Amino acid sequence: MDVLGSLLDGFSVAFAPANLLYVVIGVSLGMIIGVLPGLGPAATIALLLPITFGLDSATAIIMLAGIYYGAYYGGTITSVLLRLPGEAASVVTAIDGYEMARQGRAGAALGISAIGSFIGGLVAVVGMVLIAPPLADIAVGFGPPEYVALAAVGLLLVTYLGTRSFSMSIVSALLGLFLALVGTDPITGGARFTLGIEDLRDGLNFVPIAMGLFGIGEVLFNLEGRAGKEVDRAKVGRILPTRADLRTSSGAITRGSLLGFLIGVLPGGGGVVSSLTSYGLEKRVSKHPDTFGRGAIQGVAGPETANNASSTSAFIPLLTLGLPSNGVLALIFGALLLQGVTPGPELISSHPDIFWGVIASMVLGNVVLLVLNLPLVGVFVQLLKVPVGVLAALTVLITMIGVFSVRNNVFDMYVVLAFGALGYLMRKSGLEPGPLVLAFVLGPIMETSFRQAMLISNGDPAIFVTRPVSGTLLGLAALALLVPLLGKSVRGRRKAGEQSSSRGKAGRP
Amino acid sequence: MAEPAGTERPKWTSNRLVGVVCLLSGAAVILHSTALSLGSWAEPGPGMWPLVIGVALVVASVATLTRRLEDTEQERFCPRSLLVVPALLSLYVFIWAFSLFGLTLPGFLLAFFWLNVLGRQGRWISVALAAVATAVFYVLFVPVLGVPFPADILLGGR
Repeated sequence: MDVLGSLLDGFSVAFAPANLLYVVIGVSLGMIIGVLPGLGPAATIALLLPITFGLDSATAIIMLAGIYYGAYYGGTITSVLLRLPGEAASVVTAIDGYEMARQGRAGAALGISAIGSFIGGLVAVVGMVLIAPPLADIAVGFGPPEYVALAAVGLLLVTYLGTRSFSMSIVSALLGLFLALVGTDPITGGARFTLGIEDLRDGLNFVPIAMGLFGIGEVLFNLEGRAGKEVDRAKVGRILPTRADLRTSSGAITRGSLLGFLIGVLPGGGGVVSSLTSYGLEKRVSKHPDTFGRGAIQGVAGPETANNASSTSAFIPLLTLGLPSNGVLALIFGALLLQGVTPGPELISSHPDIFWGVIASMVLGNVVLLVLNLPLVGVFVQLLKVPVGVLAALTVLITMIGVFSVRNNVFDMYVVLAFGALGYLMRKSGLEPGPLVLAFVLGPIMETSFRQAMLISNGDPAIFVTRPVSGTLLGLAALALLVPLLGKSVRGRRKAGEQSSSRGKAGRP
Repeated sequence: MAEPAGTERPKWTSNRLVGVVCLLSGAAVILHSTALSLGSWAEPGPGMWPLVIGVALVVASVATLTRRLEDTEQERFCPRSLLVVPALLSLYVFIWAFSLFGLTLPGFLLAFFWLNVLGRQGRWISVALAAVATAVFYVLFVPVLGVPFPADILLGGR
């Protein structure tokens, strides 16, 4: 079978000594930064972009992907033991995971989430192997209107599903689209929005923006001494879940795998959305919904499985359509561009080593995580003793040197500085940087496709709704936006105060 | 660009500030895009797409201005927020010094400042950590990755 052969080739890429090393480095780094509150996968990948520049492209993506899903394993540890979600997707884990820890079952919570994550990851890899190649075949036939629709839907969903307010996320995305305008017009070659600055003629570069917003912005935000509080540390206890635990959570893990996979494939999916949805689902199907919030193991198993499955399947739109579906994947998209590889429908055939190598490396990475996770829990928790000030100093130094090394350009360092300040102000005022970065990456794709589509249709905007794929996508997006709005107003009319308050707790980290 | 200033006023102000800044930048984008050629619908010029974004920014800013944020969505500025000013200044000076004197001395001083002054670590620990970090990064970027840093004031050459 063709797929099997390609997959085997993928494993030979993943098992190449250098790649094997970088899988281990990637997932370990991911776990470490997942444990450290404040430094998320986005910041870490942004910081490492300059280093990946010197690596082989498959190796670079294998390592960055490892950081991405490794961070979810790490985030779980602090959520369970300290009720400190290391990153956003493990916020829900902190609810029941920490309760379990207080009841002396921290080990079981960690064990079940490692096992669930592992299964979720594997299910998603299998799904990816089955879905991605045919999807890429279909996507080869996509024209400019489809790309506009896909990018627009992706952006809308990211802003819509973001953890904060919709209008603020839209503002952030629009700022990203605006920043993408700076530089040379892609079609006529004229300068736009350069303010007469010569260095801006080539446009703003992705790397300094990402490093500024995520790296420096985060460090500045943490200067105020938010992190580093002393927290009660729970005892880990027995790590392997009991047979009863496994039986109770098997349904949650199965549902979490499928749900996470599906949500990850959607534009805007992955991470937080999948874990929140899974938590909601588990609570709904449970015969004892009252145990949720009091240490229900399904409330840990489901979301943890789902977020790992979705973080894997989120690679499908990136590698088959060339459209990143969230901020972290936008960074990986940027890393691919740095390597001179443009992700898109042709990627599977033109760079099979990247596609199949990344898939195979995910299987390996998940095994490494499962093996590392359980015995090293204690070691990882010790990491929290590293003072925030030390981390901050190291981060700023490596950000500044790193950004210079990409293009050997001092101007980029000033760009990092400016975006560091902007990132700080955005964090302060409730604007998330994620949509901005995603929009910045999607902006040029959207503009070029938009203009080509208008040329094709001879100025008729109906081209976006009359073509089946773009029409369906835009219709679905409209539905996705309208249904919850309608639901909200209907629910608002019925007085369901109790329900909405419990929802609010789960939804707002 | 969005530069909402920090104040200790009631919660909705930074929300409003974002809205105002966004409104102004939307207006600026619209102005600039009309100055570029708009083209026609059948053949959009360089100004068409920016105009779309400018209009969207204005619409979004109106939406932002008309609603209140929830408590969890923003952070107030506190006295420690002022630390951001020396932090940004130190980075600015570092970039300037780096372009003239290379990595070693400016890198050490930047790391020391962040460790000792901003990070409140002990003096000798800061000196040691700053020296080690600078050395590690120097080795990583110069001999290993082969990045051409500006000529170094301590080590000389390129």
